[in-house]
Amino acid sequence: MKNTHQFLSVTAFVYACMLLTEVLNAAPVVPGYNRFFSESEEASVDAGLLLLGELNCTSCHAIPDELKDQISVKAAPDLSSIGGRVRSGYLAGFITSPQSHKPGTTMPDVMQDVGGKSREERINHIAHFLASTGAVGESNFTAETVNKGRQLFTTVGCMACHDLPEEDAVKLPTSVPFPKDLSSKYTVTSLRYFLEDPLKVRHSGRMPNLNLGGDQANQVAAYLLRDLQLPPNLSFKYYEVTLQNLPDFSKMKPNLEGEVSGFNVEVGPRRDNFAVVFNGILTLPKDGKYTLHIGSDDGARMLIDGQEIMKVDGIHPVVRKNYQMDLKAGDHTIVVEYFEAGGGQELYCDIEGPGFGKQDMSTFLKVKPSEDSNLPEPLMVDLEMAKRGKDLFLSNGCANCHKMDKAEVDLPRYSAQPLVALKDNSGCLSGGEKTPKYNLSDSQKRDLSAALAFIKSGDKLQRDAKSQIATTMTRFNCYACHQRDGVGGPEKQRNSFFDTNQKEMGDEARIPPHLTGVGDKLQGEWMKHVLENGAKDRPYMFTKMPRFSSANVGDIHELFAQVDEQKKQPELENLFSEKKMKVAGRRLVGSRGYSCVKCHTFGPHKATGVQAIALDTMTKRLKHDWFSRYIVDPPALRPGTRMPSAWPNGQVLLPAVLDGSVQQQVESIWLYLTDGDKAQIPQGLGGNSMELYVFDEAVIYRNFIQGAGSRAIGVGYPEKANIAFDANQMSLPLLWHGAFIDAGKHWTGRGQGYQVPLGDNLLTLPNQPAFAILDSQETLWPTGKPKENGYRFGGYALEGDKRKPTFLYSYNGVDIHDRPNPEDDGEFPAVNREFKLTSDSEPEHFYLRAHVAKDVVQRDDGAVVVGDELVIKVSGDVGEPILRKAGDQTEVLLPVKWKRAGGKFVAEIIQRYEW
Amino acid sequence: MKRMLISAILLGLVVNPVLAQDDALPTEADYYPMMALPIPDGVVLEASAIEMMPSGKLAVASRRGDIYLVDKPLAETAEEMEFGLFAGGLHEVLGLAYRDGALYATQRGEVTKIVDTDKDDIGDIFYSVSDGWEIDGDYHEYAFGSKFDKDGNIWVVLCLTGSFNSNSLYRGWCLRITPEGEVIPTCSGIRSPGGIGMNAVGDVFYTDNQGPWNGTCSLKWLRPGSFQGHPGGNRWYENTDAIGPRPQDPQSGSRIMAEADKIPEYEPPAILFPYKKMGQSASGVVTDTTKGKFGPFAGQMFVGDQTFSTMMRVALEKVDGHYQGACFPFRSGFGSGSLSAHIDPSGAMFVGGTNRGWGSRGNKPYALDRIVWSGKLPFEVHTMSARKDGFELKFTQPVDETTVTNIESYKMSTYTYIFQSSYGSPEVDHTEPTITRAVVSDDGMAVRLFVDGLQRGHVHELHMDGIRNSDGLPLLHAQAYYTLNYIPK
Repeated sequence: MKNTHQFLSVTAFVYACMLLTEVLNAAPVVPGYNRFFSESEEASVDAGLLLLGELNCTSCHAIPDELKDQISVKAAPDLSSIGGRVRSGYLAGFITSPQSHKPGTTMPDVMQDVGGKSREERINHIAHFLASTGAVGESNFTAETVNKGRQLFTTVGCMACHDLPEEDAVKLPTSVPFPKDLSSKYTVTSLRYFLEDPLKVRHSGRMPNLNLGGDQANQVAAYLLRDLQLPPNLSFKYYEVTLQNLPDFSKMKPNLEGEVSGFNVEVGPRRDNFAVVFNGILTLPKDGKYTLHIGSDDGARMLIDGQEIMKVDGIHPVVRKNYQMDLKAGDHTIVVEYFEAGGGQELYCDIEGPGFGKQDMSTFLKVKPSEDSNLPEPLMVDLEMAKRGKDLFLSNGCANCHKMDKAEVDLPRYSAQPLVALKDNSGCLSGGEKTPKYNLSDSQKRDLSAALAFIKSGDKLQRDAKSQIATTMTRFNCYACHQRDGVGGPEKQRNSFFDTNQKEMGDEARIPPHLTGVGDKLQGEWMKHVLENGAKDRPYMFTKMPRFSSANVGDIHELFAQVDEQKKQPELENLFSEKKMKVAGRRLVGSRGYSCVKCHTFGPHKATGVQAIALDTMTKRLKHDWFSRYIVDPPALRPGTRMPSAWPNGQVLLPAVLDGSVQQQVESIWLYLTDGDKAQIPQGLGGNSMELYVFDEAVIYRNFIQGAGSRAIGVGYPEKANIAFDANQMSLPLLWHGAFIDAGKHWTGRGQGYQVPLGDNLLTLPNQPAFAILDSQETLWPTGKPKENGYRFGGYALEGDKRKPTFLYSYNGVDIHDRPNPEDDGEFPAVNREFKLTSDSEPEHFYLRAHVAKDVVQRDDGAVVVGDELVIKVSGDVGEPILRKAGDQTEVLLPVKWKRAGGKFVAEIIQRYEW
Repeated sequence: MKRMLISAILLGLVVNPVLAQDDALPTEADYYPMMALPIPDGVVLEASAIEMMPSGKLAVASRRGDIYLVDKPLAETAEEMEFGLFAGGLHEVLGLAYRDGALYATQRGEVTKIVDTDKDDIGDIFYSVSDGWEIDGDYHEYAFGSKFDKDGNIWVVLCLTGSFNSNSLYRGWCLRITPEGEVIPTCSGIRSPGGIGMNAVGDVFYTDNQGPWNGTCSLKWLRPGSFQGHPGGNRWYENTDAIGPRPQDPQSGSRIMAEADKIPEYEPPAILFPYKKMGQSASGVVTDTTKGKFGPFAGQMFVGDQTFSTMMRVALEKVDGHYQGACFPFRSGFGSGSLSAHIDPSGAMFVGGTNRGWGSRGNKPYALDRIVWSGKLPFEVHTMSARKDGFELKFTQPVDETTVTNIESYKMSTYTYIFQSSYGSPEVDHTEPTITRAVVSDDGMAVRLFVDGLQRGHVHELHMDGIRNSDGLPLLHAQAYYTLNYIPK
């Protein structure tokens, strides 16, 4: 298309007339209306009220105050930066005939009251005004990106409201329409920005934000605009050749030469064993520092103005490099040489510079004139016309519906008669000459009339919470995905687009959850969070919950609670300590209990079977009362679920846990899960469990242990207490009860990473040596590496019939024997840490630090207590404890009292931990 | 159709007799029969280090951190052997050495001296001899320990953090640990060792693996003070002056000898094991000190390959003060990925294997095999030595003069690898030198090859398919790869 902009509106008008016959049947699409009301035999006031909002009638026709709360207006798109969002050449044609460019649009033809030249002129001026708000950036895409985009479009939830935008796809009356030719409206860049946050442009949330992070918005945009033929901005030479490194291309003959848009390496037939050299002109806006980026699989190099600046030669997956340089404004030659041997073929050339972030270099490449482009010629904005266009934007009523920063001025706006003053079947409803033309269907006219009649009658609208919820769900098309009380859920023809990667979980893995009783199930705060931020809590479900923003859905979670909430569970008697309850809960969740972890993930840890919704966030999401009712009989509250009951017909399969009480067991699971991601992970997570069992003798495990360092020495004792000694720190940082450790992480694969202890009641202690020489009361306890402070690790000796280790280390001439020794007593045994100190001369100012923590208190009996979690008792050759501040913590220091024995100075101390 | 039938018949006529003849040829197993030691059910012995105890029991460590003692490891039948647990819970033991009543284990984090105080074959005290390096959870941060050198030191080679960097102290270095536990930084430039061992005169060698700055796997001489080629760990020169100042970094994309000529500290690899020809991950190193009990290769070194489940043979010589030489295939078919190896003075070679984390041709997850010399003499190239104008090959048996002097019996090519910071390298700079003459020695045990076009810094790959011994048998392994860093004057 080579015509100039003066002819554009004429062309658009002719085009519009050609399409007129198709337009006749396309009434504005309001999905909820079309699904539930358009086929109805009877007029509906509710449906009419819905349309008043969705068609934005009330922006021109004032509504009685008492009804304002009942109508939620679907605001038209914010046009503040439409110039950066929509191709300028698209605007005039669309305003001239919205229905022919986007059949089914809710945008009326508002310019029809005066025909002929002045109409065309007004539209042209408004187009110039709109185009003056910015310019679109163009970027290219690869077939790979389009494929990924299609995959996303058909799975993440777009198909809940839209048809598949392909020729032979099924068209449904409930589908929100697309423009007829998307690529004449958007560029990939501009559509990507829109898709990244639709709420920025369409504030009312009818098009919610699907959280298309990373490159996803770009992929969907590329798919939607896959027919776009961009004008070429590079010339290329293509070679069919097998290479391992970049060759001297000047000596080679290309198999193909041509022009291409962007650094698209798929210009020839080959996907392996080929090379491409691109040549173009980079036009930069201003002088400054630019960073050029290259990334390629396999080799590539970039030359600017004949100078090589970067090279990623050889065969490799995508390798990226960047190069910073000063460049002048204006034209620079750019050459990129690229070759591909085998595997993937990718090339990225990006640029960042003064005032703009990293983006595809294509944006700055000089376009080569082309005869093939199917795009509307861009408008060259005439500022005078734009200025007049702004006045027209206000006076013609555009500003009534569209927010527009540049038009936020105090000028008279268009206004129409209030709703109560409207005559039946006239104006917009009659399709008259001088009114906005909506192309309403007969049923839409009928229902709007019914609503008008109701409004004029002055009757009060009686809506209970239940019907308010239904209205909201219709308005936002929640019913497209969710069923509630038997209404809605995915339509039959869309059903197959809801998919999962865990087919064996059945429909509950792919269809978004029903909302019957959801106010009973979900915590209000969580529901609010989901509506405001969207959700992807079900890892197996491809469809995402989009975000609607609180401005649109407000406090609807409170209505849900009001309608649905039931409190049925009786108060539970406290029979067991919280510690015991949590240990029991952890056991029940794990593989030696009811094996919840077979199917449910826990934080970053995968389940061993299907990957169902996470356990560690459960108490944040669910109401306690609902959880307790659900878990004993899942199908009762969630028909069709695969979730089994752990207590089939009330039968207790683990009678030894918490006296076999179902209620106590359920409560213990809830209590354990309330620790969220701070809870110790249940047993049996991950695919490679190799639990080390402890029988008659202590078991040693030297490896990387989380919290005990790279030279950790884990010890599992027959008494069912465990410790980890840190041989870097000469400290005892971890104690825990129950199971010892899972060696699976280190004994499968290559054995990297830190393993967390397996058992219960993990106690974390200060990770510093227990002894230090303090010259005065003011001397700080030494920090840093003990080895640099005079400590030396000497190993350990396995002693006694249980072969428990005694750790051996020395500090400034004092030999320290450090023997953690659990008591053989009770379910949660205490650990006595038995120290024996020996020195040739009498050490001075030698202290034991019993503990350091924020909330340390000394009890009357001398014991040191932290909350109700930990009791520390020190006995033997020590003086009175000294409590002193150390930052925001309290230290408990005890001076060591030395005795003479066999020509040496010795001290024996026992430090006892109860936790 | 008719034509195809005829071809098939022709193939049958031609191919079958050759096959029949091949079948009759002796195999490696005829000379070095193999036996798998009977690892008991329930014991996972990813055999990662081996040492003979004075009691005659074989100490075998595992990657899981156990050390087992095998009673009667030299017995004729597996039924006589017994396994007992000596120690457990250690951190991936990759070195065992016995001295003065104690077994020393090199674990990831330290060299440990294990003492069995009550002599019940169960370790009681685990003294930390040295922990003079750092580790931080990366799987690559292995530590391989040698046996004792003549001064009583254990040499420890420390893998980098991953392939490129050294995030913890002395990763990428070789340390000597003295009997008193003192740390002597000895060499830099190490990437990813697979084993460490001494030659017959006590010089220490380790294997390094293909990756950055290692175009292929190699055997390297730990000449004290040397830099082994990978600059990733050279930041630690800041922590020690034991081996002088930090050498110049090599230039990526260069060649080994071009950099060796520039950087005096750089010790070029003594042997390059051509990738996918000899193996893919070089591992344990042992020297035949049996004075003939292990066959005709007394004094030569043997190196494992984890991927190929083999032991290779290496014959070194010193030229211009540097070790270099040839490698030959030796024995294939070990049960798992060969990692550790030990030769007993009686002439038995023990090879331990694992394929956890890295696959191997041997398909068992772990194995402990023993090979012995059957007493039959294999026809092999005993040594290949460089001359200023070619090579000399010595054989284990008298050769057939006609075939050995015929230059058509040989095929020689050369190549090297890019010395570069990115991962590995293809073979590059190929040449085909000409063998102009082959002259047999008076005793018929050697041949002198005169070669036009020797390439300094290249592997010289020699195929000798045409050679026969005096009985008309071909070589058991008819290929050799000589790493010609220096050409004798």
